[in-house]
Amino acid sequence: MNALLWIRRLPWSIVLAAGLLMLAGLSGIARGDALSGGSSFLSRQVVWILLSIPVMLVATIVPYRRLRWFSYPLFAVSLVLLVLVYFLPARNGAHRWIPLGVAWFQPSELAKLTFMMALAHYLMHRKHTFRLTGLLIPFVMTLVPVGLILREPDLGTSLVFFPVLFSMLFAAGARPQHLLLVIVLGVAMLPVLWLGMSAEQKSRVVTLMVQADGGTAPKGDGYHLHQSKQVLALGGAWGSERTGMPVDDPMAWHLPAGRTDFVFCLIGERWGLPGTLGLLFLFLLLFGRGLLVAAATREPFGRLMVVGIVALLASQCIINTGMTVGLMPITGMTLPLVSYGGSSLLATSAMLGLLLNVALRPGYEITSEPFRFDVGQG
Amino acid sequence: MTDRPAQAPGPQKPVRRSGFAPGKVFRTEAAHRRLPENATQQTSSPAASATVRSRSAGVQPAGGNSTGDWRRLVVVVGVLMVWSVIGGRLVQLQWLDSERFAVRANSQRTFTEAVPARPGDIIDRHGRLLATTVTSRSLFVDPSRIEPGEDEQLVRQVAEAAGADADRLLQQIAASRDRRFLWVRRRLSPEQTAAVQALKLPRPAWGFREEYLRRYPQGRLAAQMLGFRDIDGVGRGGIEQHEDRLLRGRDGQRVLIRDARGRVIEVQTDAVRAPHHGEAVILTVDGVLQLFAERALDSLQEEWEPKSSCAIVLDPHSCEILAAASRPTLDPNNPGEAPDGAWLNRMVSILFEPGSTIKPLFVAAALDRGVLQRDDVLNCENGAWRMGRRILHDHHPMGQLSVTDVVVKSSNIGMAKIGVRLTNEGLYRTLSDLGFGRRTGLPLPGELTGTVRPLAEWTLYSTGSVPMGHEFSVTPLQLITAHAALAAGGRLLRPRLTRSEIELRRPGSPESLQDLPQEEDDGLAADNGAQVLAAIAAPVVSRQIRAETASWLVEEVMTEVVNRGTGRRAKLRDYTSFGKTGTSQKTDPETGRYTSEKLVTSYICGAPAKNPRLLVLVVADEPAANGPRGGGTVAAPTAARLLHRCLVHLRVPPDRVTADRR
Repeated sequence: MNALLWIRRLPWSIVLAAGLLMLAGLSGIARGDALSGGSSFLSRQVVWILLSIPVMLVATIVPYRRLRWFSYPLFAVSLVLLVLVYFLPARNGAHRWIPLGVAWFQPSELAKLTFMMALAHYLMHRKHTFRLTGLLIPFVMTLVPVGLILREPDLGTSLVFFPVLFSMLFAAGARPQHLLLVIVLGVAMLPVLWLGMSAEQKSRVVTLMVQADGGTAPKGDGYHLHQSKQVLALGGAWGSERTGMPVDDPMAWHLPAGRTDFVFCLIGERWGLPGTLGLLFLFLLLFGRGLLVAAATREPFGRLMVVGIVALLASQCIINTGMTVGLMPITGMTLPLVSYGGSSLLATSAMLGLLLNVALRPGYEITSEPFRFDVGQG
Repeated sequence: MTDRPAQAPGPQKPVRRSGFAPGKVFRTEAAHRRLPENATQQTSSPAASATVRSRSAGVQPAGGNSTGDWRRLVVVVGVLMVWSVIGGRLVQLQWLDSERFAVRANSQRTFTEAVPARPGDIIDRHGRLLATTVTSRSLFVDPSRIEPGEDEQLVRQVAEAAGADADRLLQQIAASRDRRFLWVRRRLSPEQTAAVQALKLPRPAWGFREEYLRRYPQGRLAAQMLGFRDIDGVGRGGIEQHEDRLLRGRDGQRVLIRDARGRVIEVQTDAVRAPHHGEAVILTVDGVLQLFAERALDSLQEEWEPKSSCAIVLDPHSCEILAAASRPTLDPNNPGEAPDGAWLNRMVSILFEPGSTIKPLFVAAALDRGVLQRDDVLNCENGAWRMGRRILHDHHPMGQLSVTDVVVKSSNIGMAKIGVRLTNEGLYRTLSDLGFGRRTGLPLPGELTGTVRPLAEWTLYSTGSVPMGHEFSVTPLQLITAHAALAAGGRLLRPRLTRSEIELRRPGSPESLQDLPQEEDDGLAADNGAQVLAAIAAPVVSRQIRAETASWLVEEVMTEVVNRGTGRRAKLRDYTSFGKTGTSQKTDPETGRYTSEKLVTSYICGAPAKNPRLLVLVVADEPAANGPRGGGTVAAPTAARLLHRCLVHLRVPPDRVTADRR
């Protein structure tokens, strides 16, 4: 592919939105550094961003259609890694990581990506999506990694598989009544899920239901949620950056996991409503343009993969911002591209790279359109 | 980059209702390139692209475009709904209700409380602890919780157990009834702590807080050199004061959250700032030699009862101070009970006219300047010589004396004649070259400069008085430092007492001073930090005396002082030593004139004569006991015993075994 074509086809709005989101994340992390007064995360995040750019570029090089043939083996490999994690020592009480010497690798991040590819590969054959029995295989493909990740335990990561599955089934053309059945089944499963949850996980849901607006910070359960909302409110509509409001009470600004899962809060505190709404708009731009890429792609594997990627990132975005403002239970979920953290940033960059990969090779229809036959025959 | 021809599987024949991909629909990049114009037209024309979009997005186009678009509609509506819910919630949180959410922040009040840093140890050159820090408990009471009448008995019990004054404590409690905190007694001993604990005091009213307690495990050893720490942990005197910021470290902080009534409702366990514990300071002192010095002074005090005394042991080659003791002394563990003047570190804080101990240095200067030759013979005028209107006397009248004998017999007239040869300017230069009239820069507070008057104020009498060690005053440290130059072959070094710069430069040490944040602590880093100590660490070397002159004076002249001169009582059994006595009259503060009643006696000695390992100076101020009280009598035997013990302890090989055991 020559350079000119590459430049013309690249969806620049996605690149721009991603870049601005990373910058917004840096500004939030800087605010967190300033508030905590401890170690600096900012410079390390800059390094991760610099590392993520080549990852994104590499993911665009190999034509994505060739990846199709690796999708099942890769999925199998990531399942093996998910099993392997159990036999490695726990860290913070969870078997989530594989030590790689310099860094910790989370197989669940890889599983998300390979799961989407495998599912796209399966669903691209239309005959699968129309029969109820055809839905069985995608469910099995979903439940195996979800079960493994749940047992790590990592509830947040395991839950994003379902929106991805649903979105891809939806995009692949599953029948409405089947999709409805999936939703009903999912709702029916909730009590089972509730019973399987740990006391801490339950407390997060309860906290969400009984949360008070304002008031003094509760000591135990609900403290995190209270602080999250409080820090958002402390910046006011215009943000501390503009109003110059002093941090006269450091404990009111105290926010656990501020620079990672709750970076949205810090951005809101710093830049106010323009900051948070602007961030939401950037995500909307990213996802909307991503869906247009999917729409413009005639090749089903690429299209479904893009739908999966967009669905995954959107789910993470919704869950993260939702838990920040008290609309979702708090789970360990990063805000893609914005939160501090190397493995999340690298995984997201790889996905965006694949998205760009698809966008660069739309499989233009030159000679004829398939639906002419339909129209002619119909 | 090229793609292979499309490999899309699936039915070759287009299937009805199929939104996707019959094989031939997909064209490769190569195909695309073959028909660039066509492609450009298709993609660039609005109509064409609209077609492509509507076709491709509709996944189930069976019933036409309108039914195929419902999935897109669902997606768009769904996403917008979710986004507007989150956006609406943000508007509520950050704008509409932000006061309600954020205003609570002001009703919680936070206080920062210091987390004390542990003061660093002071250790000797071999790692022996001279000063260290232990934790102890301090008892406090909440006066508002003590009922005036009912608890009196309890308060008395507590006061007795803690060793505090019961009446005073009751008074204090009554006076501070509106307060919530009062120290009962700080830093209890373990026995007192146990006694108080046995009372099983009610929890919220009484409590312990851990505090650091400074201890000096060697007791009186090097007390003035170490100094002490007051009740608030501030160094007072000695190394404790001079290296205070280094030893003290920097307190951390933690945050307490209190409610509106001031009650602590939460303690953040993770400190806002962790304390930087104090650095250890390593002294050049050798604890064992220090002990010898202390004992030597004890026996000196007992025998001669001087008002005060001082002893220094020094390595002339490195100019490191190995021991320095002063009398009277004290126990830094009980600084309140110190006698008058005990805090004075006499090594640097007393001034005396050195008398004859200075003489070898002027002889060296005269030899180096060429105004005196080693084989010159000086006429000592049989004990009386007029200079201007003053007549100089020698203790023992002498006639013609060699240069060596002038020193050995300590002839004042001989020295006056050397002074005439040197002239006032030469004498003044000699003093200033050897560091008199300036601080040595030892890291101790209260160092005096000594008195060397400006040359313009010198008179004819100065020419006679200065060479015999009068008309100027020195600290013991200045005197021994100048003699160290003589003993070390003429090189004048800066004396040293600390080796902390080694600690400071330890790479990667998280608590070393370089790693402290500059902006918060610029004072610490700048004035007491690595730079200054590094500057002190670098020995200041300057050649003030020619090497052959220095070795001649030490080996030929000052050894004779011991062999047959005023230092005869200071011979060592196993070593050839050299030395010089000094006895100087003090001025009577009432008359302002020199009086023979008040003397300062001193003796400086070193051994072995060839390549001296140690130099010892003993100064005794106003020995009171009767009898001859010259330096050779009072100070010399003490200094010699001390020198001998130190040499033996350091395992310096004896160099006169055969000579003595004959």
